[in-house]
Amino acid sequence: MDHGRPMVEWFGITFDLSIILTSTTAAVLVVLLAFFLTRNMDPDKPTKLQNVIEWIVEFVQNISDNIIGKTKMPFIASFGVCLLLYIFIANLLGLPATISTTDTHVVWWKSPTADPHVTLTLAVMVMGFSHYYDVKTNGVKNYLAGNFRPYKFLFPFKLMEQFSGTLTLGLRLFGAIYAGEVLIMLLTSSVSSGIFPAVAASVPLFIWLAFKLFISGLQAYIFVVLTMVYVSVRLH
Amino acid sequence: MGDFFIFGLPVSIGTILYQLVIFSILVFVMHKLFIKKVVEMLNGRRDRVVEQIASTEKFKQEAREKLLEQEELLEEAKIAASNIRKKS
Repeated sequence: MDHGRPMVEWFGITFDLSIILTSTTAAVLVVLLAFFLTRNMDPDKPTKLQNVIEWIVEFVQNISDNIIGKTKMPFIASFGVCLLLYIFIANLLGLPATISTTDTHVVWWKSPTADPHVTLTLAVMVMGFSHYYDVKTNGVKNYLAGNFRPYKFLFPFKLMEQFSGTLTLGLRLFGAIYAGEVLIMLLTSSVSSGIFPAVAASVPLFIWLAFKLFISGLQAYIFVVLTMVYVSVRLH
Repeated sequence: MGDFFIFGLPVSIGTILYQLVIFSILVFVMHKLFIKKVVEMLNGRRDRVVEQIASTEKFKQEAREKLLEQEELLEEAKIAASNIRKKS
């Protein structure tokens, strides 16, 4: 089952069109969701939709307060909320369908997070954000000196820690969602082997779809928590 | 298929760049347009609740003091009334 990707070349660099399509869709959906949830906000009498957005923001603020402590940068709440919503919606995009052309088997619609490019880019952005936060709070000198803080010979280990942390953060998300998609494709391809295997495969398919829904939310939550943990490790 | 190969797997730089750009735009748009409003509203509500509780405490304290004053005045009035009755 070899599935290709639609690649084009602009200005000498290769782009993957299906990822451009699906990640833009996920981003637009996040903005639309936020827009509809914050439309008529009343500070004293919260409406139902306003409660939802308040719950989301307070949830992320709770996580950051518990792990980092009171912080003076309100940007961390929006970064966390963005990550949570974007990853959750991106994970859910591959759930209804995986669209591919019939003769060349080129996949056009799948979760953007089922691609290692996307998840590793997100992980690198999170790491970059934690470094930026460290420089902003402690200053450049402290940031550079903090690398040698407990013992000098631990410096290569600290480098490895940054590198491997980024890798695990990105690959964890990629592995969970990609495995879900592979299994969905496997179960749905049983349709081509006749009606009895198709009916027999429908029960595990439903169970797997429900599980994937749960996993989407869980992976988004884990990503946000680990973001906060990396930022707090950098700060202390 | 890709730009360069890491461990034999193709890596396309364009996808990475695009994802960087679109996620940064998303974070800035969310921060400026929506989340700032919500955070300010939550903080404003918390400050207002704290202020209301503090002023309620203050009013209760004043009410208690006034009650004590009233009772003292009542005692004095009773004593004055019994004095007047004794004289007459």
